[in-house]
Amino acid sequence: MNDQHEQFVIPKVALGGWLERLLASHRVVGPVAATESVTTYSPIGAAAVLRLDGPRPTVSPKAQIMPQTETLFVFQGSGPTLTLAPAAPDAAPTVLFGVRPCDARALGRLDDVFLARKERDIHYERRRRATMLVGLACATPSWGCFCTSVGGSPAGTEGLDLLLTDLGDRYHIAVLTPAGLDLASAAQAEAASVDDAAAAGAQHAETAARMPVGFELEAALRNVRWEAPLWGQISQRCLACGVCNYLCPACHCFDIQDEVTPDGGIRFRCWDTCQFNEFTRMGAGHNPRPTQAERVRQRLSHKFKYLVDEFGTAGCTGCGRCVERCPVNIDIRTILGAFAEEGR
Amino acid sequence: MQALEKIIRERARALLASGQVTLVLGHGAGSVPFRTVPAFIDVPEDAERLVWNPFCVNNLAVYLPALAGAGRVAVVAKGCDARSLVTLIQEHQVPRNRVMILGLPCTGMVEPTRLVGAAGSLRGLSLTWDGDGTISVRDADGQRSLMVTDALQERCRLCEHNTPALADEMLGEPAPAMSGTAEKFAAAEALARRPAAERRAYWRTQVERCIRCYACRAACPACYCRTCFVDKNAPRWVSKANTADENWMFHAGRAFHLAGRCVECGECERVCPMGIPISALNRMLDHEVRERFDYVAGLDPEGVPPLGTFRSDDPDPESSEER
Repeated sequence: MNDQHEQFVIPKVALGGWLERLLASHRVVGPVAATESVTTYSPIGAAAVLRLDGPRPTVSPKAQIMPQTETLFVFQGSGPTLTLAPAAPDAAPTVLFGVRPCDARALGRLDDVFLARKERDIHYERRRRATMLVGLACATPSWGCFCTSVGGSPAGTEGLDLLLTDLGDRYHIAVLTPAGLDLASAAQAEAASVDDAAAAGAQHAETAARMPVGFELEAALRNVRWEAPLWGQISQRCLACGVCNYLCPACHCFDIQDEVTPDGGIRFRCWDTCQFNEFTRMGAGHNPRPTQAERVRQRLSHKFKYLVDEFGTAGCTGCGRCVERCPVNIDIRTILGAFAEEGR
Repeated sequence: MQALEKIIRERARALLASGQVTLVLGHGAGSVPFRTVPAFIDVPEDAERLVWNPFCVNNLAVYLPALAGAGRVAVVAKGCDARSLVTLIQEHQVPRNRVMILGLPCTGMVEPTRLVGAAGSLRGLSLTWDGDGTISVRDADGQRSLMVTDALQERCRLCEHNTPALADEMLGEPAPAMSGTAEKFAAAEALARRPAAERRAYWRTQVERCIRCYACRAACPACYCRTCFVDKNAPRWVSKANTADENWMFHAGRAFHLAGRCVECGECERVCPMGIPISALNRMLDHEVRERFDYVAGLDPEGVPPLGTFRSDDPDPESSEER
């Protein structure tokens, strides 16, 4: 823990009061229980019960910035009487509460794609700029987690305004940005003692030490390539569903569709997945990725080659959701490990 | 190594070596001890990669329609895989002489979350199955044993045909019946008794979570349509917009399409990342088909699925009441 950060502690019993004060001026979105085993992010009210313990939520908070379905504009009439009305994204000031470091870091990868190029995505940008991130250090990495193998950490601070650390009956709060300081002041919390700061640091180190020793990322990145026998081998069992892409906090491909009624309609975009055979299939029928082998290659190469070439950082933060939810146990760690081992 | 695993490997090796089959579809070791992978074995030496344990969850029949050109395929089949194969044979997706069913008596698959000890994670776990009813678990907490029967996946607990109904060769003695078969339709019947508005609200809440990854469809051996109705865009039956209505259209449409064909392997529900109780829909329709047509899916390759045929004297209680 960097000593330059301002640090506070808040008793867990005071969390509700903090959320209530945040709710006075913000939308607050946090992890809530959808079922016994499924945790999703939802806008919460003052009485909400957040599910902050346990492994990272079932879904990432990506949909809060990049909704699965989003109207781009509305049209009415046709021909000379056609009118277009842009759809303004809901960009109310929002606090994403309890975000895991892997997911916060993944938003940085989405920023690369939607904000770092000359053409910025205004829908994404408005929501993103209106969103502050209250992180929660991971104390219970799940079996598929591998953040430390791709340059992250269970207590990583990239993209966060605050980082909370669970100290049993209270949370340690590390302030990481000026916006974070405003949020923290609403907590009306006490300054953290030296012991609390040390306890948070010890927990971070302890969790990081429990992360598995993974593959050598640099070696894997060097070896991920167009022609590799692995693509065919993996695709043999791939069922071509979209679980890996849709649960991924960094995947960002979308499709654009019109929903037409007799009087007009809407143009919307929705998440797309490179694992479906109609992904980027052209109107005339040509499919640039005719078999699953090319689609499997696309998923891995986009993350570990194309984004690296363009922005310098891989499009994967090791959240492990694709690892755990793949119906046929296609484990991205194994694939990267195999590439890393090549030529050694 | 437990006996059945050894037999599977020996048979696979012999079948490939003699050229009786060109491919053996079975289960291989996964990336973690509580997962396995579908394994495609096409040379005798690779038969060593085949495993058998209470984590062989995948229904391997899902691969068969696409393997039509692969020569004769031997499938290491649990009861559910074999029932799916029967459906595929009935529906002319797999020629009977192109598939060799190596039947396995199945004692049920284990729910991995039941392996979690006090340390609270599946991380760092090592497992040994004695081939009978006990799994030894070793993790940060130390060592303990778990009975397979105490940690069964619900779909397996309710399974009526854990010993394959159809096999070219059985690789072991028939397995004892599963404990929950009498309760198979209890939950579906209870749900059916609730008022329609309540059921509608219940399903709306469930499908609202759907992210349309279509893992349910992808894992389902009976979902082999070349173009699924949700992917058709001329006309477009279902919008790609992720709303509760569109999601329900997908789930309801799929359930109806599976009526009288679904063998309730439960793969759809297992692979759903959002915990949607998809099997409850399918089970309800299975119940209806049994009641109205006295037909159970996936048992007889010569059988005719009731919704895949037409008879002028088809039972149709509603319309006859109207008359």
